[in-house]
Amino acid sequence: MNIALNDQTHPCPAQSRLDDIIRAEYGERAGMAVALNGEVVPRGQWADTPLSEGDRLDVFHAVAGG
Amino acid sequence: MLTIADTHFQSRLLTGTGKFHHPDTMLAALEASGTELVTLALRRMDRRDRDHLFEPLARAGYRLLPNTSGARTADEAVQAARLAREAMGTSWLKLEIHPDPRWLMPDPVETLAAAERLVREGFVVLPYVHADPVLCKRLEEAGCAAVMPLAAPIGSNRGLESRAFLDIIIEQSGVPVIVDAGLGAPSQAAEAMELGTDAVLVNTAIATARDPVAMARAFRGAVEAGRQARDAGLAARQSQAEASSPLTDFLSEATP
Repeated sequence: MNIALNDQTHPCPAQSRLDDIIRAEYGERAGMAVALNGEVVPRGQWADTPLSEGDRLDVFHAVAGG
Repeated sequence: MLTIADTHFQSRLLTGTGKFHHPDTMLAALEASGTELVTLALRRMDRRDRDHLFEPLARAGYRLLPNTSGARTADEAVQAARLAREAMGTSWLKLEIHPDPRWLMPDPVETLAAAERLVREGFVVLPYVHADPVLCKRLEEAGCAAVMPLAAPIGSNRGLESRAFLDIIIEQSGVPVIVDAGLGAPSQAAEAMELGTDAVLVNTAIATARDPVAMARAFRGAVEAGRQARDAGLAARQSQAEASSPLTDFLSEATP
C-alpha cells in the first residue's frame, strides 16, 4: 500500500504499523513527534497504531532555533 | 529571582540555539551564558538529518522552550504546539506567528487567538509580540505566563527601537516581560534590564559573534549588571548640569 510520508508517496507493506515506518525510516530517536492524518500520536501508541492506504504521516523533530 | 509559571530561574538570560556554526560551540556558549531556558524549533524530519540537538540539551539540564516558528496562522501554531509538546516533553511554548519572512513581524490577531486556545489546552504560553501594550495586556488576561515583546526585528541587532512602548508594557504588566528579538550587543541587553525588563532572549548576537562563547559571557555580565542597576535605583536624568563637587570660588577668595 501507499501512504504519504512528509508529503512524499511512500510504499510500505500492508499491515504496517506506525512504529515500523518510523524505525525503518528514521531510527529510534528522542525529540520526535508524529501526526497521523493531522492528529498527534503519542510515542507510547506508535506500536499499536495500524496504517491504512492513503494515510498521511507527518514526522517532525526538534532542531536549532531562536 | 525570575519566576515564570511558578518556576524559578537564577538567570535572566534566555538563549536561542539557532545560527551557531557547530553544535559544540552552541553548547559551550549556552554554558558560558549561564542560561537555564533555551529555545528550540520544530522541523519536518528528513532521514538524512543529523541535527541531534535535543538529547545533548536535555542531558545538560536546560529547560526547553519550543517555538512555533514557521506557523503563519493560529491553526498552524496550535498544531505546532501539540507536536512540540510531544517531541520535547514540555508544555512550555514560545508562541510565534510571523507570516512575512521579510520582516518577521508577529501577527497580533492570530497570536491572541492561538494563545487563548493553547492556554485552554494547558500550555504555558510565552507569546512573541510587537511591543504593543494593549496586546500584551490582552495576552496576560488570556492567561499567558509571560509576554515577549520585540526590541527590533528578529536578527537585526538594532537594539531597543521599541523602548518607549516597552516602558509602558513593563509598567503595567502583571506577568514577566521578556524582551525578545533585535538585541545585538550586551549594552542593549543591559539597557533593557535597566528599564525593568524581567529577562531578555538573545540568539543571533551570540551565535554569529566571532567568538560566541566569549559573547555569551559578555551578555551574561550585561544582563546581571543591568538588573543590579535597576534594583539599585537609577539616578534621575537632569536637563542641566548638577555639580558632583562643591563649587568653591578659589580665585575670587584668593585675590581680594
